[in-house]
Amino acid sequence: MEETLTLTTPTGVELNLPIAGAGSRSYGYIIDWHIRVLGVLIWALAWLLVFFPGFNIASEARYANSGLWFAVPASLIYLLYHPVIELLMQGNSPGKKWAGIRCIDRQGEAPGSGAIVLRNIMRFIDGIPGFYTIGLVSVMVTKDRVRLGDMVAGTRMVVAEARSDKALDRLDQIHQATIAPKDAEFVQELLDRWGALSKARRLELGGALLDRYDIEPESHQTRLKKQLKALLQP
Amino acid sequence: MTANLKTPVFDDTEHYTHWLESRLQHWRTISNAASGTRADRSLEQSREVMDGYRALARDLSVARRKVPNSAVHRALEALYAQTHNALNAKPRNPLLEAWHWFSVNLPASVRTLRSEITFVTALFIVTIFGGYICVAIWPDTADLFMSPEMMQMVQNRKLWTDDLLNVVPSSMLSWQLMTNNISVALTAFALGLVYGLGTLYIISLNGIMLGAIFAYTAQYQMDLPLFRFVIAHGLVELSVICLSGAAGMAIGRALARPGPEGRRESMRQTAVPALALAAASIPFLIGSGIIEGYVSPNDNFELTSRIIIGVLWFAIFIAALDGRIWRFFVRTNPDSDSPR
Repeated sequence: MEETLTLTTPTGVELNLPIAGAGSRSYGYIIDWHIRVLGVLIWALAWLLVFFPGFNIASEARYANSGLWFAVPASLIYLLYHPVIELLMQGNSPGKKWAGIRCIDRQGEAPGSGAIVLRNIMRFIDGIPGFYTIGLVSVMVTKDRVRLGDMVAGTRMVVAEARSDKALDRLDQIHQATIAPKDAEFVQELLDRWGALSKARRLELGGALLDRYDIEPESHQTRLKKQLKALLQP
Repeated sequence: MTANLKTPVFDDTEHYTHWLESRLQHWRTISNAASGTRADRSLEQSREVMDGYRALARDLSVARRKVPNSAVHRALEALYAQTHNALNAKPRNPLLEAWHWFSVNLPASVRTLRSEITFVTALFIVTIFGGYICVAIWPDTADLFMSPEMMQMVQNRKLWTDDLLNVVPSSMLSWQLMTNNISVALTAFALGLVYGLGTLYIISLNGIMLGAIFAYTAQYQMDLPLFRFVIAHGLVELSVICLSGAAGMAIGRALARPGPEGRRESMRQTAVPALALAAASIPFLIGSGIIEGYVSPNDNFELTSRIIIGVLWFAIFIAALDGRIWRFFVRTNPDSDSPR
């Protein structure tokens, strides 16, 4: 069952936001982690080109502090990635966007800079003793699926809502279809899940719907799909 | 029943289709107006979002009751959330927010945690004296706090800080010291989670060790060279460790004695000022690391200049915690539009 975060809005109508669970949060984090590592690797490559021309590792470094020139920027890229990106993207990051989740405050709005900084400092504690163990356990056992950083900063991770223009396009299609709206919605969902259904189930469901409109269902799947798509045409 | 007259009733498909038809264009208009950023929106579009929000709330309420889990319901949930965000998005100015944080939130956090800061500082001072007296009275106890190599060096009238720059360059030394100090401060803070006991242990241990080392070096007339090494960076560095410890103690107190609001809420309320203190400490540890790498081991700096650097750096630290340094900057910049 989908867990939702319910927020009261000024109109009195509650806003229901699906809570992002450990899976989607981890997915977003892993993507961000790869971006961080990629940043460090790019820096490492640039550093090698400058200090060890021709990638001749055995050669003597050109500067006494060459190791420092690698370690400091690489550490900064790795450690400051989340705070800086989240401050720039109002609590979001490329990984979160990819995973379809977003960070909100208690009012359902983008978190402020203070909250973003706090939740990022707490990463040190959420990460103890390694592999984000405390954070992950906290997400699994708390009601709103939050890590310690979220508790402290008053933030929540929710599933980013579907784009309303896309949802309205689908409504338009339902409205303009020649068949009943509920049937048109059924066809849309059937076509959405087409790939996940077995052949027998596709034929059964598609056939039952076409029977309602006295259309002889095709026994071949591709042709049956075309018949169903035709039902959605104006 | 006036309300019923206004509420669409979907007794049949025709009613449903009619309702959808009458509202769809309106929803599309709101969706277009609510998309994009605040800056992109025209005045007309902003009005559409504001007026449309209330009507949308009513439509969503109808959809939840009459056609739950339908495409209309899902579309309206998405549109309502988008419109809510568009209406309530705060204007953002990261520089202004940062200024406000340093000049208002940070001093407020210091005031909130005043009792913890006082307690931890007092504990640190007492344990320094404790360590000093312990080794001064019973010199044999020094081996509890110092390694045999360190003791041997002191007996030979040398300090482990001597010739430090011959081993590691200043930049590398600064970096090592910075990371070490930051990890000590964060540990002092994080151990507060063990009901504050971990913080007590770290602060006491550091205090006793510092006192013991000074007492041992004093026996071989090496205390002044040690003071000479420590004074430029030590005032702020040790203060920051006390500050992190105070932040950890506050967390520990919130966990041990949560009060009527419950442990979780109590921890959340305390963690905000505590983390603000811990975060504000980090730039000062970086600064102290730089001084410790470039000034403290450098024999070209006389004791007087070291004391001046140490006291000035400490004054900046206090002024930053008090918020004066940021308010002073705004007072001297009349063109600034920062809030007062």
